[in-house]
Amino acid sequence: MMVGLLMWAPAALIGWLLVRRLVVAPGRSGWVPKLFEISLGAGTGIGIVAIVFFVLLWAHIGGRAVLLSVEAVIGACAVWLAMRQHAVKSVAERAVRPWWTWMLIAASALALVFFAMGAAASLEANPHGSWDAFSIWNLKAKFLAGGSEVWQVAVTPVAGSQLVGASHPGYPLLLPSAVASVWTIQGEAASATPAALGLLFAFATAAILCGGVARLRGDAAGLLALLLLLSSDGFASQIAYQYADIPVSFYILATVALLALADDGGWPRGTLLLAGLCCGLAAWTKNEGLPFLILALAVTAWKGGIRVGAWMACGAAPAILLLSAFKLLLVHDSEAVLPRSAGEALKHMADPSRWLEIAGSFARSVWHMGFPWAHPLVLAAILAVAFGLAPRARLLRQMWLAIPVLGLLAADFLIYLVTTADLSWHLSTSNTRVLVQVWPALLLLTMLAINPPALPDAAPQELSLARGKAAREGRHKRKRATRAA
Amino acid sequence: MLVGPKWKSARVRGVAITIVAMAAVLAAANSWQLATQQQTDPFGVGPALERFEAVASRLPASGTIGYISDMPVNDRVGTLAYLQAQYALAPRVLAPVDQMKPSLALGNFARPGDFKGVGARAGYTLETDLGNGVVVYRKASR
Repeated sequence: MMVGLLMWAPAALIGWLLVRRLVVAPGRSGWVPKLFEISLGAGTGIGIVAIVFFVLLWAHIGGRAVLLSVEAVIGACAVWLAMRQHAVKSVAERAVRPWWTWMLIAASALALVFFAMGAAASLEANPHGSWDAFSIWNLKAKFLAGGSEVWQVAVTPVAGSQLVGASHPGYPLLLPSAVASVWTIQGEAASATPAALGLLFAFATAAILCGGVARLRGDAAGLLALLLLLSSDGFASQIAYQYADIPVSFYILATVALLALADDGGWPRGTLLLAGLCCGLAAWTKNEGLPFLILALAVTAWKGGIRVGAWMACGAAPAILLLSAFKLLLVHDSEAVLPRSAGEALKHMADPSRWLEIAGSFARSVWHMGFPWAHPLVLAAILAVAFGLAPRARLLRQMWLAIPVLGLLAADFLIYLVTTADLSWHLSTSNTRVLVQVWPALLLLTMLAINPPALPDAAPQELSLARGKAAREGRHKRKRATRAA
Repeated sequence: MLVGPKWKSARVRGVAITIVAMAAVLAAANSWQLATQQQTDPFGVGPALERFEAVASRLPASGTIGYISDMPVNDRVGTLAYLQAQYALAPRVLAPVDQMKPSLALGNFARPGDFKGVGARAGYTLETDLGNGVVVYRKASR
């Protein structure tokens, strides 16, 4: 497993250097910026390498030597960009902390140990992942790693014969491409590679949730968000599956966290580029990422203006271009579960029993995300009662962040409504995973809606708001000067 | 300075955080406990990789291979058997011989039987029986 994890180190390093360049640290020292940068960098770096690998393969210039050379060049560029970054003056953190801050640190460390032990036990029991891992994701990775002669099998319905649930030629290929890139370098299809990737994405998701909330609401809020995620058994149980749901949950969470930071910080371009990159990677990971991408771009343009939306779209452009080319040029079949006509879809939608069955399944999936006695939503409710909700003005100001996440859930609901597959089968095999995709982002939004618990940590938040205000004022001044000129 | 109603005192907040922290740690511990009770390799992928290891060297490294089995590909057991074989032998593509007739075919059988006769009915001759229900067929010449 250690070798499997080490194989992802170059991609993570590339991503980390890029993130360091693009996300301007909010002037804080300590673990929060580092945790955020490293976890964000790991996910984005893997996404970048996956895109590069697939483009090279499609251009028929794949192979170990070419891939290693291109990765080395990208890494060198990332180092050069990171070295050009100006040092940001750090603000020393206050030494005084409430007693429970230390308890939170200890509890988070302990919960992380259990989380890691649970993941290790699951991976030991299922080293090859669950059903969809060997029938879809890792199978596609084997075809992609097979080289220029066979990789196209991964996007044809021949793979998996004609078995519904096994043949998905139109599934985006971030996860298989990432795994295949490492298998190509390794020269063998080592089972530890996808297992390590699943583990990496799970821990990066936990870290980015903690780091993101900590940057937005203070360290204590970040640790509480982490604890809410670690108490989510529905999330923890997915780690060993080696599916694309946890990676897509990472990219959705990263997008929402970066947009929240961008909104607070006066829409800095680097953060917007990264947010765009992450939502683009979400779309290149799973089909569910596509409605999220469209909604995130649209709502950001609405909230911040066309220029803000354009910067974000620039970040998403590589993934959008690749996905468009993939869907238009390579994939010639539609998903078997989609209706063939509007009439068929409307007939399904007009059936009220389907609405009830889907709503009931979503409710059950939410319930199964945690144990009844420690359900994350119950724990969040306890925090909301104890600390109160964020001020109404702040809640209203940040409500837009929920639109892409809830919009994705609405899109999922719609797909269930019109599915031509047996609805009970479709719900039982996917509904929990659909919820896992948005669960970390929902926890982040929940923590943003609760008053930040630790007043000593309010400093970065005030600093961030002040910097955002200053940036906005600076922009207005520049606009006025331009108009005057 | 703390703000808000009086009952939301620092003590109440401390108690709330303590409850959340303890519950989360116990939940994470419970998840770990459940993870240790999981069935090992419920889909038998590991044994399948070992079972098809020997046949891999007798097949071309890529291309389409026929698939013959006594387990119908459309039922759950047959689907799993097919997917195990497909995963073990990828990047080769396994195609049931009722769809196409490649020059070589893999036989994947759950029970002992007349493998030669099964192959003949599909238009193939038995080339190698590797044991454990794994057989290599070659397309019969007319």
